[in-house]
Amino acid sequence: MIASYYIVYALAALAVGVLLDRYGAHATMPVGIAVTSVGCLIFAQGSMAAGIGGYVIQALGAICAFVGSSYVAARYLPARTLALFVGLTQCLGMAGAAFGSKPTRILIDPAGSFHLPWQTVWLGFGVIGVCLAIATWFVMPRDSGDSSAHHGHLSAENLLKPFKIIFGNPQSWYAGIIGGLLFVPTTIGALGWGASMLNKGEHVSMAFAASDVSMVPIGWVIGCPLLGWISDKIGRRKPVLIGGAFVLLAAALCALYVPVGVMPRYSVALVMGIASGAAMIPFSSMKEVNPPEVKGTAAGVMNFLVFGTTGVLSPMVSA
Amino acid sequence: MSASNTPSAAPQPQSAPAGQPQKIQPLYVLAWFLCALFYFYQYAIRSAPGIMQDELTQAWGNSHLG
Repeated sequence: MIASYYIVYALAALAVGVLLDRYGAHATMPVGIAVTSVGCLIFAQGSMAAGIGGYVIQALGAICAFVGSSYVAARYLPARTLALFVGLTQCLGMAGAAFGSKPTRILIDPAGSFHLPWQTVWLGFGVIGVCLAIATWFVMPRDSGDSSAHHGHLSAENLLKPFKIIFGNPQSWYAGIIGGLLFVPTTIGALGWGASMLNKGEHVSMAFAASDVSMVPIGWVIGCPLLGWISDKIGRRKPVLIGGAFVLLAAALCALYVPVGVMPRYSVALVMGIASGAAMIPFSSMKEVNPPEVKGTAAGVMNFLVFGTTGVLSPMVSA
Repeated sequence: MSASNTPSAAPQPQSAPAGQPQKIQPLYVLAWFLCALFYFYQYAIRSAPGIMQDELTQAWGNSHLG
């Protein structure tokens, strides 16, 4: 069930990449945001069928978010700031995952001062989304992809061509698999079974274990832009990637073998999160090793490979 | 930095220059920021059904779908 969700997500990310390359961000992004908002408005209808349908529609629109942001960063911002902006994008996403649910909780809390019905909250989400879609429509540069001369008419061959270019390049595979492997220690390791390892293995309280593990996403929020910025600053990708991977390994070994209490509180989890920011570097490399006219598709393929690596490894690791 | 983005492994005919700017332009940064805000927003709404689990269970009968 979860696996099929990831497969659909990964395949849809590929499609979004092609759309961005063919039609540009001005045609694609407002539509993606609008689709997500419509999903919220449907959810607000209140019935269970509307809820499930709305949730699926939201998910479809939401795929544009990361692929689109990194496309815009690669297309319209200077190449020497790419890793920084890709990192900042991920930083905002992690912040949304970590803190985005708090306001919702406050708004619908029966004991709170707002106590709104949940349907109203979805209506609010929908309205925010529509505003965001309209703003993006006005702000997004109006050009129809940067490769109009290259794409030609709509045919199966033309649609598959970008994939041939990207998958035919071994560097793309390296970027995708390295990115995926760098995600695994935190997504499956720390977030998946970090808390129960600390609780059962190190005999700390569950509350402490949970708050320790929650430092990892905070580390991400710091590490993604920081490592991107360092990489842009020195103008190289590999040293930052390898350095981050070693720090991540060291932090993981500390988590396993250094008794709790020796290192300062939360420091190991925090360092682990920050070092994981290196996982965002291959997203920039992916665009740099492929020709500019397929950068949207490259972003989609990158998502696909990263999700694929995590998806293949997760049953093996957690079994 | 520019040395690393030569597409070496792709025997692709050079198309028209991509027109990627060399300087940061505020409007383009804003365009990126709106997309990134969308990324924040979609994470916030994706976690929302979990947050309102109790209310949804109440409204939809005793099913835990959410």
